[in-house]
Amino acid sequence: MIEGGRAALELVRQSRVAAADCARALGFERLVDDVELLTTELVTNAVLHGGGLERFHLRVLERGVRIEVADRSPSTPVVVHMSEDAGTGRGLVLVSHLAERWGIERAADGKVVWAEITGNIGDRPPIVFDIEDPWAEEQLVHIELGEVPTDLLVGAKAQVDTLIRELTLISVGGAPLPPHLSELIDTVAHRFTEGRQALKAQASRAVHDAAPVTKLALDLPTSAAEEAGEYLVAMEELDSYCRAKRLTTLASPPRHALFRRWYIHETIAQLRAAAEGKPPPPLEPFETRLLGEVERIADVQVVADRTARLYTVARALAAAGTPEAVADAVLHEGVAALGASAAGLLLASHADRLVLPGAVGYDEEVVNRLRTESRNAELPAAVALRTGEAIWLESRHDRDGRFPQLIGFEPRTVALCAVPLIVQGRRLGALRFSFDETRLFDDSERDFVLALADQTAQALARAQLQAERIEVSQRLQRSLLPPELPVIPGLDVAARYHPFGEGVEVGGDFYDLWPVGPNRWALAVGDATGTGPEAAALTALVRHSLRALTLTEQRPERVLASLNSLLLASGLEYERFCTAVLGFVSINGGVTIELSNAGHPYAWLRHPDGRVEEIEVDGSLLGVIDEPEFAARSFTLEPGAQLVLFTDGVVEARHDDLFFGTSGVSRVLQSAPAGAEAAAAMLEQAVLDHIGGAPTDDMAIVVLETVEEGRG
Amino acid sequence: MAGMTDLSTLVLAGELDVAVAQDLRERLDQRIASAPAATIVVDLEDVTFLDSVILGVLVGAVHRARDVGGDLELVGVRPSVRRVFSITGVDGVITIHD
Repeated sequence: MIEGGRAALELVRQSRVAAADCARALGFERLVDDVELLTTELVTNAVLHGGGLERFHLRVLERGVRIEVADRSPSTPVVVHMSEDAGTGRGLVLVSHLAERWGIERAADGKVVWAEITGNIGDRPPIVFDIEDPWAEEQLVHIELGEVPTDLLVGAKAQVDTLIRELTLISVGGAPLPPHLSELIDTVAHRFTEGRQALKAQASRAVHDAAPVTKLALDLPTSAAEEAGEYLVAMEELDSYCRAKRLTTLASPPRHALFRRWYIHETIAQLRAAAEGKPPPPLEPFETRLLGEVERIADVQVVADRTARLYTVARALAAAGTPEAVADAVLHEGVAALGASAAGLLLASHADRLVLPGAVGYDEEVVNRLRTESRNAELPAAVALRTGEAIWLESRHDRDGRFPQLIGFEPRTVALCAVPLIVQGRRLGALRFSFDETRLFDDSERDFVLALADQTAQALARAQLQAERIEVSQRLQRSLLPPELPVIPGLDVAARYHPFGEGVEVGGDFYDLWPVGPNRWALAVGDATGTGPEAAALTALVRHSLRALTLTEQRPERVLASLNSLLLASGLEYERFCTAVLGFVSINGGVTIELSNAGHPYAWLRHPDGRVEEIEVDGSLLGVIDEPEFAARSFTLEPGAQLVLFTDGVVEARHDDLFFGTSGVSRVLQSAPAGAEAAAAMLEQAVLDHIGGAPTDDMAIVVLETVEEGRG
Repeated sequence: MAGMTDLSTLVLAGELDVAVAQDLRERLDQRIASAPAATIVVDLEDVTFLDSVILGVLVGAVHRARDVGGDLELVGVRPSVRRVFSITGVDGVITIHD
């Protein structure tokens, strides 16, 4: 840093004026311009780069003057042949051009830069003097750094000089920099100068010789290692300061930073080896380091790619409801990300044998072996499952040493990893990846596989929970429907039930057919509000109430009225209304139907000749009002006729805005085949075809067909 | 016409060295920022002295001006000052009008 700030800068002007006055007084009027310029350059250099001006002398020569500037830094300035448009580095070009002779001498606490000027100045090329070595008494270590592109050296040097100059000017110009930053600038400007000056001189020579590459060599004392380290740390900090302050033109570009780290690390390594009396460590050429950097960047890309794949897997797993879907989602992406040859998902089961919901890339023989892998086998997946520890087999040697059974099990595989799938302490199974070649599982690969295993385990736990829920729902649903329909002489009966949502939820639709007396049966098709446990409870209440009420009550409309009262009095706290069609079926020579309806879609009648009609019987919803009204209608079901009852899942089935509707029912029934089962199946299929996907509601269908005497 | 000349001309005077370098750099940057595509004319008629630090500031400003589509040119350069530009080769970088 400049000591004294503005006062130090004022020294430059004072020295210049004093020197000019002296030159005039001595009678060297024609030298005044040169003396002014030389003095300015030397004093400025002392102030900016020399640790401060120690002393300024003007001595009289026979035909001119000698300017001596003493500073407080032992580092030597170098005349540089930099490109013409560089921002710095011109001071000593001027000095070497203007002075007849100039040089540098070592002083007690710094150096003296001197220049002599006479009238005999021609147009001479710059001269680089042999510079006195400030460490002449110290043992120097010779360090060969190999070849580096000259452009890079020049660029890196200019970058550092600009950085120091700009930050120095900012601080001198009045804008105070944080104290720590001033120290950093000081370190960068005044530490490890000998090494940097040597590099600068070699780069300068290469530019002068138009050499595209510069062969770098340094002669440094071992004590320079520490300084080099301090310099590097300070530069890195200054770079991050510049980036943070958006002084982006000042921050080192990546190639300069890479070069700096490389040459300083190499220099330090060689100096330390010399200090310990060891032979120099092998040099990593700059080119190798650059290629290493390319590799490193490629590695970074691999990590980014794996992160993206984990995201893809996570999304696919979110929708995976079964172990097979989980395997499908995780194995393909995992194989692609790791460059594996094959992969498999193995799960624990209640039996001794593991379950294999999915595998990719394995021969059929290997798949069959995996399918029969025992939980107690000395094989990677089984061991990972038992121990809860990941297994990494990186080479054939590794494989054969730890899992001799693998030799015949999976002959093509050289490297292999198997990681346990653990959720909340439960070990669900293991994920295994096989490789045809030796594989060193580095940290990033291991992390990826473990993350994959973690996601897989979570997805499996979700799938398991889902499967359990479905099983419970289906069991509950079955309990709400008659296990089988009663056999009624003279009647062919069929029922279809289609739960909504893959059976995850219990639906509110129900049907029932039960005997209520000699040659007499009751028939109900209904729809309780909602889905899930509440709907199930309401459905159970309605079904069992109907069965009880029909034992004593013969009229369907009265049964419904009683059921309405029961529901209102039930005390169920949630919405509890219900629609239903209730019929009594009497077999007495013919088939007579008495039908009532509580807000339910009409039943349909298909005559033997193919005509169809809705049986329009109206009535109130159940469980809503105190005084409901229910109509009733009685009719005979002639031989070959079909009575078709269903829930709103049929008529309200829709595709986009198009409902299946009563027109759909009418169309299907007109062409319905004989036989209750066939007719019910046809109607169900027509509805599913109309939706073209998963049903959005429950659906129940019941068909009664009169068969001729002697059949059924 | 005169007004426009005033806007793009920066008149400097006296002895220019490290003491004024930061100030000069800021003033040049302000000019570049306020009229990026313009050519800034720096009048050195009354400049009696100029050193390598100022050369560095001028070269830096030329680069920044050209980066944004402008330029920087010098007028009124007296011989003693002109010599500094020619020794260092900077006269090949900055346009100097006689």
